[in-house]
Amino acid sequence: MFALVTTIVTSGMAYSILTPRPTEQFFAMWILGSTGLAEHYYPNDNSSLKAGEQVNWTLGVYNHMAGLEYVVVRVKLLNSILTGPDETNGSPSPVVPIFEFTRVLLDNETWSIPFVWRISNITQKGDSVLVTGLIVNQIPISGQLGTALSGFNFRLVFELWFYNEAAKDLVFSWQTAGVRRSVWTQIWFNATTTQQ
Amino acid sequence: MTRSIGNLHGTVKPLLIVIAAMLLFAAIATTAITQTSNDLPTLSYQAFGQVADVYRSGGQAPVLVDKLNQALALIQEAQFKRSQGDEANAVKLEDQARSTMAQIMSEAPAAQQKAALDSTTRTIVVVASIPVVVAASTLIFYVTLRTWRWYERMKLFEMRIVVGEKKTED
Repeated sequence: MFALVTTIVTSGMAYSILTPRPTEQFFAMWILGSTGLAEHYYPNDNSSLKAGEQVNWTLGVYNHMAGLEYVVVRVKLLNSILTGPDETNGSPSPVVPIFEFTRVLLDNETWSIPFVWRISNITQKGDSVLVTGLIVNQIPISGQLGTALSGFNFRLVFELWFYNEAAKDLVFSWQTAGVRRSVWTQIWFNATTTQQ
Repeated sequence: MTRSIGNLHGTVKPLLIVIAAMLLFAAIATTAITQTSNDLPTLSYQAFGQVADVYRSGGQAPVLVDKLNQALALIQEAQFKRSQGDEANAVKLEDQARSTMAQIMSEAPAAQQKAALDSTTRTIVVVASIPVVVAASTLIFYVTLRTWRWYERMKLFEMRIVVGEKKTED
């Protein structure tokens, strides 16, 4: 009888020790430059871009949400005035995305996305510089994509969205350990119409 | 009163123009993400939900995940074709994506059932093996202890009393 009780108690203890504890759930996203490192983001390290200058970046997304995730990276072109994503409220930028990448990621999977882009069309209207054409991964994008005073302080914002089965829609933020979290990153550049 | 309404009209009209301009800008600015058939995102979410269920049941379905990613790539390619005015190929790619997702959804329930069965079997094996391991460990410990005691006893029995001769000192 004693042996049986001891076996049951020891088994319970062994099971509780061996069962892995739930870890913190998160996504991570980063941008690397042309060398695959966090440097040399622009040709000649000059962030003032002219039309036709090609920029080579690699986006990285890592899923540590303890399950399969339907992930969408939304790319938005903003200036310094337009509202960006808000980490505190977990709200995305209200600006319409110009490009999207979609993929289903396994738990602990890292997704590398080549992001090769250039400004294909740029116009000046008074003091404002208007980007009307971009080519991303050889896909042309046209329209009034973004405007900035004197072409200064454009930014490409990358927002990470994922499918939430409860909401039956893509969402930008999630709750973990009582804290609202979201993932986004951005890189600033200037656009110049003049030939240097 | 009439004057204030007049002022209101004066405020509302530019506001409407601004709103209209914003809507127009939004419409123009979305050229890159061109329209996809409305059912495709919903279909992809449904397919994802079913594959996610397989994983939640403790199973693995890498083939289905690969197929789903292929379907998503087809949707993106279709958007690109449409943005270039190639409607015929866009529709063709969308049809391919639709059929891939239908295939996923037909294969997912069987995968989920298998995953559930595998998970149950795994749980039973784990739960059953823990007492066996504990009992076996206890038994091994007990046998080792007994063997050690027996060895000690044997060593005691084999002990001889040796009376050494006193060394005579000169």
